[in-house]
Amino acid sequence: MKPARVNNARSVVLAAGASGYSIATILLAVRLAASTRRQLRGLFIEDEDLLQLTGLPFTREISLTTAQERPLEVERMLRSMRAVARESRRTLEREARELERGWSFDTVRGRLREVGLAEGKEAALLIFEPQRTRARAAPAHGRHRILVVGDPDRDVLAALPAVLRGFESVPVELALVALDPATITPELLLQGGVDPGQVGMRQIPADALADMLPANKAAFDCAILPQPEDSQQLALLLEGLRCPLVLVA
Amino acid sequence: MDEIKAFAADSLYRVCDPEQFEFETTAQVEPAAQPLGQQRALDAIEFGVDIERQGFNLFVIGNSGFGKDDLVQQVLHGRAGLEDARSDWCYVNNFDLPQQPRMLRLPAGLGQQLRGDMETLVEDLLSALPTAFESEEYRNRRQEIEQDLQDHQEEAFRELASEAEASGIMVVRTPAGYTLGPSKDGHPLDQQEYENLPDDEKQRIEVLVAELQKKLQEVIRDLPLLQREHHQRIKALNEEITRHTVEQLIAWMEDRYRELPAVMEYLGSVTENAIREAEAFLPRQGDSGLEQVATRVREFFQYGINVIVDNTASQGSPIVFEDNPTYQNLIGRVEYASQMGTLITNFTLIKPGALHRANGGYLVLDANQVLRHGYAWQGLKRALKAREIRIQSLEQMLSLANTVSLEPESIPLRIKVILTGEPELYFLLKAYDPEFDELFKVAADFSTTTPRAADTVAGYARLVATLQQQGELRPVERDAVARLVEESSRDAGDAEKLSLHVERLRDLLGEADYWAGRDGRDRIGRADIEQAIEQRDYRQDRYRELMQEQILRGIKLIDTEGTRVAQVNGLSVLQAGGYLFGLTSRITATARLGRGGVIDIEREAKLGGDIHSKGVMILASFLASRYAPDKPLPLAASLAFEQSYGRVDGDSASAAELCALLSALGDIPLKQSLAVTGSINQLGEIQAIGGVNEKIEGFFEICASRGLTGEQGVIVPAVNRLHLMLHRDVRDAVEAGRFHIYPAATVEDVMGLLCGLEAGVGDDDGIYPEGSFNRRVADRISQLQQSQRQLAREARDAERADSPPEAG
Repeated sequence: MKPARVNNARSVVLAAGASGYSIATILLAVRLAASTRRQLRGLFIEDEDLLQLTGLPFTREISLTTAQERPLEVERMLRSMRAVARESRRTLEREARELERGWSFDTVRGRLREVGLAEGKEAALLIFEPQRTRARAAPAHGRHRILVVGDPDRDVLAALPAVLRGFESVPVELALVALDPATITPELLLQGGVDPGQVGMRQIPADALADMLPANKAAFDCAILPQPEDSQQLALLLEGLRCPLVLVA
Repeated sequence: MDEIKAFAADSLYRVCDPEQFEFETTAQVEPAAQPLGQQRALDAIEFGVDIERQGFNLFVIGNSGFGKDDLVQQVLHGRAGLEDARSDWCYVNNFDLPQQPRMLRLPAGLGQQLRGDMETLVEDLLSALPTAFESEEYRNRRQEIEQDLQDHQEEAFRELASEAEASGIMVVRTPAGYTLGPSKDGHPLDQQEYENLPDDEKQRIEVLVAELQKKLQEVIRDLPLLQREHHQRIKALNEEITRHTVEQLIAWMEDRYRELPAVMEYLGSVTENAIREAEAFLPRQGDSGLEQVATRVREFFQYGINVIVDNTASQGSPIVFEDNPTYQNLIGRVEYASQMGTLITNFTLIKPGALHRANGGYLVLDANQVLRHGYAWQGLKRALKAREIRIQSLEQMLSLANTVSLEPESIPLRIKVILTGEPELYFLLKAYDPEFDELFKVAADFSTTTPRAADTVAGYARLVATLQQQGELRPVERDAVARLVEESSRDAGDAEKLSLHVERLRDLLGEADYWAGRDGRDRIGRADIEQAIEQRDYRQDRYRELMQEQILRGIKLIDTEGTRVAQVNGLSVLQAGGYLFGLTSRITATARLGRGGVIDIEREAKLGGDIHSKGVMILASFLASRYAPDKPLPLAASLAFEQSYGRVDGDSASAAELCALLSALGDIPLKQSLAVTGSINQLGEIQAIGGVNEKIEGFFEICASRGLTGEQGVIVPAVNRLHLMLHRDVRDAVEAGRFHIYPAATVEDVMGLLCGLEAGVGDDDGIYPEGSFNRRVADRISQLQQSQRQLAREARDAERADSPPEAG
């Protein structure tokens, strides 16, 4: 299937950097596109800073798996990034076809946060794949946690059913920031295919979020938040969380 | 010659007087508490059952139909109720070595209880463990560990990143890892900017980057250690939570089974295994709530209890009758299930054998059946010798299969095995199996007959009453009981005995009940018994009728009047199925000069059995010693059963054969109106034979069919008078003087009756009186001897004439 011409406006944009997408994040993005009846756009960002460093004569790449070093060359780095991009594209295509979603895929060069925010500015949902130091540890047995940060101007809950469907019937805990639990209606949960009885909720004061994040980086499986105004704010979130971020425009 | 008197009619049948019975019908008679005539067997069975010593198992000897099984059952039920050695036997998983399942012995009834308890435990674990892992406490503690790992990793990277940043170096993610390089205002320097730096600055940066790279490598190398430590902490946490939960859940079971160390040990291994396999109890994706508990319980077969022997509902020691004692049905087996095309097995597929079910009690087996089934006898002996049941497939035992199978723990065996079998089998085992004596030390020998006396006749009446009442038949009138007593003697082939064949009596009563019912009577009378006997014989009589018909039509040559030389009517008994009948055969003899002695044509044609040949040899010996004691007997005689095309055995025709031979030698005509039966010894005495009644009746029927002349009769050994229980029509004919049964004690008696000549007694020179049959035989032998001498002389003369003259 050839990629559709995706209008960025009101689409679901999935942005990733040098390490590419995880399959879980792609599935999440496709489900979100399907549930909101929007098209999906994959965005692979060739890291400009990385290419710049690669040009220096003494730089080395340290393997995250083996800790071995090897010299960096621009050509090889480009090939390497494009290989990651191709793989990401193939995966995105396969999953989008599965759910019969229109999709597109672009490779752009720039800095992840800035390009991601700029490209996703008009998107309904912007999903960021976190930069992984290592594979995430499995969640605590039998319960997934989702951070939902409310915003009076944005419908953050529209993304919730699609996120829930990713966890099927496994018990879920929602950590709600600036959100009344009453807004999480049983209908909303059922749309997500989750038995309301299997969902626990707790509220976190809005002003406690910033303090809470450093100690809870690994606590969440997904976060749904209003899209930040600038890349600095986004940088804080990307630093503070190790799960896919669903940013609602 | 003293005239031999035929038997009087009243000596041909021993009547049972119904007046001796003090009842009208058997409904008034108490059933017998003990079997008739089997006291010896009963004592032996009671002894064998009571004695508790190794190897004192029982072999109950007796032909079928004599009530062996009933008596064994009666004794066992009487004993088993007094003891209570019942246990439940179970197999459970061996968590360390699953291919060697462990055995549990529990007091009766606890096997099912333990199985139920273990199912409850699994259900509890399936609901309690997920709950424990979803608890706030667990999640928080796990979160701490996860966070700790994350923090350690982050911290290591952050420290490095901070150190790098402070030195103007930035860390950047690559597709496969990280790289480091100089930065300015949060952005890396490009090549031009770098080239523009002073050389010492460039050198500083390069050294710094190299140092930081080394640190980064160290950080990355430490990550697996952090992960390992993290896994161990998670594992320890999981174990702590699981142990706490499992121990809580299993505590009530430990209280319940505290008195049973084996169960306590098993529960200990269950606890450890459940802790090790805790993950298995957690919900899988798609499972939810109670539904998952209900459907998943079956997956945890390893915690099941395979109750192979359940004595919950039984009382007293178990008594097992195994009527299909194959190796596997005795020892037990391990079954297999097909899974994805592969045969798999586990301890739940262990099936018990009869030895398991009878453990602590009694196992009754038909020895013939045990020996018929391959390896069943070996398996039984091995279990009895080892005093344990070890389930091992035949394929394993014979090394025919290499499939993975189980080696279940052996089960201690405490059992009394009772084999039942026919006497021949018992003696064969005694003779050929050296282990038999070691394992079956008690023999209970069932009698086939008992003396017919007042007390045994009364006992027989009680036996009839017992069978009538057990079988819910019509009451049997005393006349009918008396007739049954008479029939029993006939069945025993002895007027002074009663047959103890219970099954035949039971059948006869059942058939008489049918006839009584058909005729609308509410009691079984004598006529019903008569009809049952008659009908029973009639149903089996076709073959006998065919044989008789051939005689009456002249196809098979039998004379019943006149005289013939060298020809005697001999009598034999045939058995068609279980039905015996007498058959008359023409026995002929020839005699001429020769050196062949007496040739048994049946033997030469390989139709004669060993005993028949022995009889012929005896009569040849008698002949030589009687008529040629001091000279060779120059005789070539032959004997044959004419028109006999089957096998001939037994020596009951030897008297008839001798008479035919004497007739041939002495040219003495013999009466064809008489038939002869009896065996002869070397002294010329007539010895008892079997089947005397059938033999007499067989010849009587031919004579009666042709018309009784008053001359006809049968010569039987005198001693066989004890066995006479003849049919009424024979007795009536004898009573009327139209048929005769003569007792004979010697060959002289028989010959006297057959030819009407005196036997004659030899004088001092051994010369018999003129006109006696001995004289005629002796004269003929003398002639043969002279002829032999003459021939010898002629031969010598002829030899001399043919020889060349001697050189002079």
